[in-house]
Amino acid sequence: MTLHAEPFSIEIADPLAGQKPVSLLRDTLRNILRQRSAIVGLTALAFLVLVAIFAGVIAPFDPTQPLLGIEENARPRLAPCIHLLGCPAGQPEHLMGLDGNARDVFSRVVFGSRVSLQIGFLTVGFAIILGTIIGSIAGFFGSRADNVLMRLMDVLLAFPALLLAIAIVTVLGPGLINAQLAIGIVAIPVYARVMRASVLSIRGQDFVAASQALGESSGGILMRRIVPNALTPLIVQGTLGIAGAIIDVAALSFLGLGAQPPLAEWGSMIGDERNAVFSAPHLVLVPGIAIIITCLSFNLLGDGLRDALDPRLNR
Amino acid sequence: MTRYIIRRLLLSIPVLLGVVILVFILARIIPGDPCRAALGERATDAICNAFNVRYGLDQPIPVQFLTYVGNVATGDLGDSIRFGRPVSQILVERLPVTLELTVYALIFAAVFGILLGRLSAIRRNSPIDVATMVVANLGVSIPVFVLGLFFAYLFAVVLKGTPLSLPPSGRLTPGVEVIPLAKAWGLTSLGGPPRVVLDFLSNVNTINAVLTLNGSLLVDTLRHMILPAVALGTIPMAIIARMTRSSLLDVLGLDYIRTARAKGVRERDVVAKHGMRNALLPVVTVIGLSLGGLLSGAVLTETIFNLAGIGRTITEAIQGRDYIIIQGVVIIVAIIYIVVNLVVDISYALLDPRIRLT
Amino acid sequence: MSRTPRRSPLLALLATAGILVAACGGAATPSPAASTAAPAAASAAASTAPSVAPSSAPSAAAFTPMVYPATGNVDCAAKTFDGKAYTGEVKAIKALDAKTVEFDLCVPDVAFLSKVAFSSFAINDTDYLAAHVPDGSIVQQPNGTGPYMLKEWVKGDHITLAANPNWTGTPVLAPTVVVKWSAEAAQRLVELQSGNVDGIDNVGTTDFETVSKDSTLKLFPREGLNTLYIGMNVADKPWDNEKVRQAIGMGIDRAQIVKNFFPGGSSVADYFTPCSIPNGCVGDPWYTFDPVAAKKLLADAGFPNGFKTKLQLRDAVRGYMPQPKIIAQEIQSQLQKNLGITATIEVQESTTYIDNSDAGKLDGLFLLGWGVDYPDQTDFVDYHFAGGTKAFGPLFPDVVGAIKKAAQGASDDARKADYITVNGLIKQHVPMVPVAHGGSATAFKADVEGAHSSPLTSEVFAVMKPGDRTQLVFSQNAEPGGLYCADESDGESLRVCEQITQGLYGYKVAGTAVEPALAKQCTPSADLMTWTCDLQENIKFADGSTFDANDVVQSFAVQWDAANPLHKGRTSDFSYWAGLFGGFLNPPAQ
Repeated sequence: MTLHAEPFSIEIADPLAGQKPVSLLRDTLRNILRQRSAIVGLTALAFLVLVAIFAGVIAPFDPTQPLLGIEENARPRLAPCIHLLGCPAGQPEHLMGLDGNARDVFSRVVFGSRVSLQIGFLTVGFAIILGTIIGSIAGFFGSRADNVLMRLMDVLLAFPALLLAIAIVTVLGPGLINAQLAIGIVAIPVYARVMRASVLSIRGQDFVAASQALGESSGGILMRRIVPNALTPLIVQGTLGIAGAIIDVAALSFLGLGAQPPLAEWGSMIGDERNAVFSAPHLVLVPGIAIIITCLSFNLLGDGLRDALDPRLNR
Repeated sequence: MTRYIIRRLLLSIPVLLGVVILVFILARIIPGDPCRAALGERATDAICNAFNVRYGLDQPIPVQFLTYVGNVATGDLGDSIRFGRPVSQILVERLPVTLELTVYALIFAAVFGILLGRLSAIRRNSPIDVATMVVANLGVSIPVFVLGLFFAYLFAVVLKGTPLSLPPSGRLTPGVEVIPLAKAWGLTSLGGPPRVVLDFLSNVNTINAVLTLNGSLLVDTLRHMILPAVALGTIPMAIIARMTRSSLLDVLGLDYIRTARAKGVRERDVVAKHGMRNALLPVVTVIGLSLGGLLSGAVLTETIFNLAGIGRTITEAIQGRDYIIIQGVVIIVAIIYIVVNLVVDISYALLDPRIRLT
Repeated sequence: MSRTPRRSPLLALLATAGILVAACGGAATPSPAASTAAPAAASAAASTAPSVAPSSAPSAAAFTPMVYPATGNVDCAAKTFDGKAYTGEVKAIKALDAKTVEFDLCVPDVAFLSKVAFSSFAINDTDYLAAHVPDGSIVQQPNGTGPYMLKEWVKGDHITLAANPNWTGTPVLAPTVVVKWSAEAAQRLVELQSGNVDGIDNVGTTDFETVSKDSTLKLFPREGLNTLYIGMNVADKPWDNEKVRQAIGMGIDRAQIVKNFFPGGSSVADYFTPCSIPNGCVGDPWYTFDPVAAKKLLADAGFPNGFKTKLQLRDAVRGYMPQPKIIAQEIQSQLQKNLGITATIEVQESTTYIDNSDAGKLDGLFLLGWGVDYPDQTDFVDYHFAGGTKAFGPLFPDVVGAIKKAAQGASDDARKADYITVNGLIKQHVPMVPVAHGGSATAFKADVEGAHSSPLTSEVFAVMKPGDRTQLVFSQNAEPGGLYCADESDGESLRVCEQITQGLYGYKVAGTAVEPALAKQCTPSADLMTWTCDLQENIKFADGSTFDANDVVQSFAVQWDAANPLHKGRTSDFSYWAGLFGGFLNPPAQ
């Protein structure tokens, strides 16, 4: 998966002004749009983002408000009532029923999209930033820094990721932020390795040597020449990583270590109701399907991105 | 080659030391009280003080650490706080469960992943390809705990009474007996390391069943393993399928394949003899690397299917504040993981003559 | 619990792991030589039990009655033993002859029979204790006089019990009993529905209906001998104001909680102690739900618009707490709606939570409960309101006085008036709001005859007949910690022990009343300070040894005396002895 394409051309003042520049960026975009899976992924993702933004409009109820005593006949784990499907009109409509606290499940699932998208981007963003820093330092400065940092990464990689995350959350205390931090920490080595590999492959190339000869500082070369060129594999890895992060945080929430009540988060919705899986299966199935759709869209997009950016597949 | 292996082994020493330090620190800073976790909620302060003295928990942390490293270096992983038994003994009982689960999951993942990936690559851009890749992407997108709950419901309750019904939990049907190998072979007086090895193998039900020619045990073991192995293996299967597809597509575009085709070799043979062999190289790496994912996934799978493996042992130990188990088991898992990575790297070199290990 | 080096087993383990791992990697196959290598000696704690038996091995011929303590005297007035502090209530235990034992106490104890019936005080054989306590093997391999004996314990997976050939009571109906465990209620139910087990413990709250509707299954509801309460630490603001506490007591709709979130068989708690406990619910019942009056009380206390606080809990399912987070969220929403109090939920790790509550560190509202150990009021009120826990802050002297007075009463009737006072004072001071007595249930296949549930969670498998099968499989919540139950405290261990061992007394099947077991009868002196027990004759342990009075003395003595060489178990803390009988002889230095 080492995809080190030719460096991006991002100069603004193009010597061949007037002629349309054939930039890799545009090529890439075109390539992405040629990938069917990427289009499906992007569409689904756009839909999710819209749901998250307009959650307040879409959701008919407050996701954290128990309806006991507020709505007549409301009771915990009420089956779905959809008027179109023959539910009596006199009964209030709950597309996906009520949960264990008699809250509207549909509203909770809708609001849950906000939480999950935020989990995905924040967690992976955190891991990418730290991983990039560690990987670039290791790759660029080499020798001792490389040895120390990468052995540190090896230590992290020697644990099964979820176990390490469980241990970290237990130390920090349960909570959504801490769960994201834990999943972010265990994901760092992957990005550090990707970054290091990219840096190593780019460091030896002529344009870097040229910059060096022109007297650019190490930091400058790293920031302006190397990091931008290593972004491609990071973006691909990151897109695929978001899906993994969402699943992992949901797993922590499932174990009661992630989102805390009454926040609507899909993993904890499943975890809280897993013992009701036989008496009220919809309480587990609906958030389960929501997680699957979200992760599927990120994975499709990531796959498409990888295919689009992999020069070997451009034929 | 030998030098490479030695170098890698030496390199893994600082990593292992880092693991020991990290796990020791993590285990100590987990909030909570091992005394009340082990002795119940109503243990008094006096009782807990005595307890802490007995387990050395009253010593300063650095002293505890040095004692621990000394013990681990001599091979003593300590006694579990909750069970009051040596951690090594607990490992002999629990590791085989996880081993069996992950091996079956890996077999499922590798076989179906490679088959699907191959199919998909050969029929590139056909509906089969699209369908396969959708399945593969769906596979990586389903959390183990959702799939596990769904499987248990489907096969144990919905399909109850049909030939497809499968047990939803546990390792064996109550009443199916496992005769320890030591007993079966009249080696009960055996002791020392050979006995530990024997007990370990004996606890791997599949090995036990094969060695003692116990057909009913084998069938019962396999029936109990199907659901958890499939649930656990789905994500790696999807990853392997994608890897096989892209790797095979890469290879099939290379010159020597074109040559083979030009020479009139049948397409089936082109793929089988020339394509797959080289395409499998990166797949081997992915299979090896997915072991880490499998061990992670085993935590949830063992919880959902009620299997007493090390994944569940560690989570329970974290919840129960059993430092000694956390430390011991995690160190062993880390060692296994390091060894597997080494084996993967070496096998990679053996498969590809172009790679020379130095 | 020694820390002797265990180099060899670990290395061997690594070798095994290495071999197997290598096998998966395709580099090597396990050599058969590895598994049939040269013999040596190790790993057999049970088979090579060191014979550290005390010199006083009783011969079969003459019976030498044992008296404990053999030397030294308990000074009840000074609360000392041999000059050392002693806080317990037992003064001496004496074998008068082979079939009679006398217990001398420092204070009258009307609950004595209930206590000795508790499964922690089962009787073990003197010789067996001597042989199997020092190396700890008794924890894995118990030996009792009960209807079953341990056949096999596959760690992590299941326990198999076989009929005890030396059992002289009503013959058992299932020759084999298998006990399994699973923490998830849904999983236990699937096991039952799929036919893999014959009975399960603790049916999930939402599954009561499923089981009742299924004609192949039968539900056995279990009365809730437990209490869920909302606690407040009187030392913290605003709980130092009695009006605020009373407002909480009136402002929570407890009936709505019980109706919607507790399984069938649960009841609203109108007293701290459940009604089945003698004198548990005497006197005035709790305040009726009245949000208007509650708001007025809050306003009088200076909080017309409520305030912000925490609602603390632990995510642990117990009989009194069937759905922790869900019930907490309901209370959170009621506090807001009824009283204008904004509470944020704080989930703490289970043991941390218990530590914090016992140390009085829970400064918000906190959800906690208590399950019965032995059916007596002292088990409930003494611990909570007379000094056992600091959870509620400083004690109320009037409550403490009334509780101490009630405990001295010679009979349940004589104590009634005192407990009316106790309950009334608790209602007035509101250190906590009792919410519910949580019911639970077992479920069995419909063809299991004699199936039942026990309010003390002591189901007796010996009276169950699993249809035409020879094996009864039962799935409970968790694996036992150990099977030497003198030193265990969780219901899962105790349930298995109870099939294997017996105490002087036991509880009636599916009830809370005590009935004689190994004792024919125990009778108190007039002042309730001396209890004399006549023992059954011709009783044998599973290993063939004969039961006599010295076994009783020794079984109690090894728990009682912390300096006894046999005072050792899985954890060696014998917390139930300390809890029920007050304290140890020669307690470990603080």
